[in-house]
Amino acid sequence: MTLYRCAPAIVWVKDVGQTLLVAQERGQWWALRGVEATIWDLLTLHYSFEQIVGFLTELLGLSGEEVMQRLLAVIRRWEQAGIVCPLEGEGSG
Amino acid sequence: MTVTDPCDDTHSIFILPVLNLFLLYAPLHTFAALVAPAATDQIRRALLFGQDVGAGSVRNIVEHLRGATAPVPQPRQGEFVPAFLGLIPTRGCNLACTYCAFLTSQGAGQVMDLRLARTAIEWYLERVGRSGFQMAEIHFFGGEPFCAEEVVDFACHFARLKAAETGCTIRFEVATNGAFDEDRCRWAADSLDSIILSLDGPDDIQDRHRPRRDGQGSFQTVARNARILSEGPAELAIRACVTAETVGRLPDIAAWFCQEFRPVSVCFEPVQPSAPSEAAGLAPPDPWEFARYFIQAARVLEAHGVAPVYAAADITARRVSFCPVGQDVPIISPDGDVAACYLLRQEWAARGFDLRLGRIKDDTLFLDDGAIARVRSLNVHHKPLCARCFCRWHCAGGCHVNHLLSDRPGDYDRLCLQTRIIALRNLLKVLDRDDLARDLLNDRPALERAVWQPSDALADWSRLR
Repeated sequence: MTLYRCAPAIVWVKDVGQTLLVAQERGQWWALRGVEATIWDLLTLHYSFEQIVGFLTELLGLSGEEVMQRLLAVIRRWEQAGIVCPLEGEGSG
Repeated sequence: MTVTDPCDDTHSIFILPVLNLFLLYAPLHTFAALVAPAATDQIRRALLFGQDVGAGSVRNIVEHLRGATAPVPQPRQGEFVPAFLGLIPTRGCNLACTYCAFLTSQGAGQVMDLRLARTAIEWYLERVGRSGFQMAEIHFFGGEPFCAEEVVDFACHFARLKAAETGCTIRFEVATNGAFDEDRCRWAADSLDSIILSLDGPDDIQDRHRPRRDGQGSFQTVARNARILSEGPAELAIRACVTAETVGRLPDIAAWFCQEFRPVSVCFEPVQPSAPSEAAGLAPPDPWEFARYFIQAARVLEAHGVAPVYAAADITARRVSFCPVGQDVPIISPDGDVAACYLLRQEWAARGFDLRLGRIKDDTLFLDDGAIARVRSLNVHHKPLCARCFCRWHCAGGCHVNHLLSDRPGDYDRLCLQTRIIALRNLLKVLDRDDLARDLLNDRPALERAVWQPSDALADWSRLR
């Protein structure tokens, strides 16, 4: 399973109820709230994909399969936006 | 003739000799004044026997002290409404502090199951919502909470999600050794509200007191993290353990803390004697020395805008129990036990206490009404030594487990003595007479007269002067 890390060009700051991500060079920003903010938090703390799935399963009270689909959707969207990138040297999942 | 006992539970007024003056102190009136001996006698006679004092400042004082007081602090009654929720993610720790008795505890490696944390938080927030409170608070204790970091992460995220659903604000506090990596440190600085960091002083002290489990010093990591935490939005409070060896360095340690970091407060606490501390040759400081150097350190901290903390001498507190034990706080152990105290069960059990409140089992938190009543009965109203001590509503007798009190008036121990000295200085400082506190501390016989008097009650004053 692929490990992801925050893209180097992204800086972030926590605000009340949200995490603000900024890509300064591109002039883009994103506001993450709720579960997305949680996923970002866990990525910055180097949780593996599997650990995040386990964490969210307990957090949301959903099945592992449901959580995995939601997580993959978020990660793919973030990868396309250049917010996260696969950790080098890890196989793809 | 009007006879009012100013020293009963509804009217506590105290008097302490301060050199050639007297400190008149009525905590429930939020009143303190320095008065001359003759005026003290007039005030006493007026309050006890209704004697007329004529016009002037003495009359003003008497009228104020005859007026309404704040309610006498009482133990909680009725529904169990937690002041906060305590979580112990693990009893494990990555340090091997030479004075720590937790290290040898049974079950030190056990980590709280996420489901158990979830059950505790759901129960707590439901109680908060039912009580109509808009603010909730979760405190993490250890061991070292970040040795079970997934539990801390989970609890924070889950509690935030749940609190948002109910429109409740939630804050988080952690007591930590600060021995974690930079990413975790930045997370803590950004995500938590209050961080109580154990840091005993510069490298020679920290590394002697608080080595890593591999024997290496922890200073470099903890000091680096204290700097990171100083830059973040979370409040940083430093807690330093003081021994007989380090007590003389408190003013220098305080100055160093202020130069290196940005704490909102610094708490100095004498080492709690234990088998490990004794084996390591770490003894608690002499109480007179501790108080003297603490007060010097306090002045250094105050000059930097940092609050000095010796919790038992907090003259703003009005309480019947010093610690979470009196506040209906459920503290959840990794195994699901719910207790009123974060100390190890074996510690309080060895002193004959049963501080269990209930248990989490099958995703449900059960509380025992009998246990709640038993724990609530542990309060300063049942501590005879405290009955006529001016610190009664502030220290409330201190830790129920580790501060064993005599029943005899005036039989003060080490903790009582240092608490009384520091509280006395705090009162004089509020009166803008820190100069008098300085003079008193330099006059040991005068200080002993104040600190050793067996009753501070105004009603007893004529007998004791």
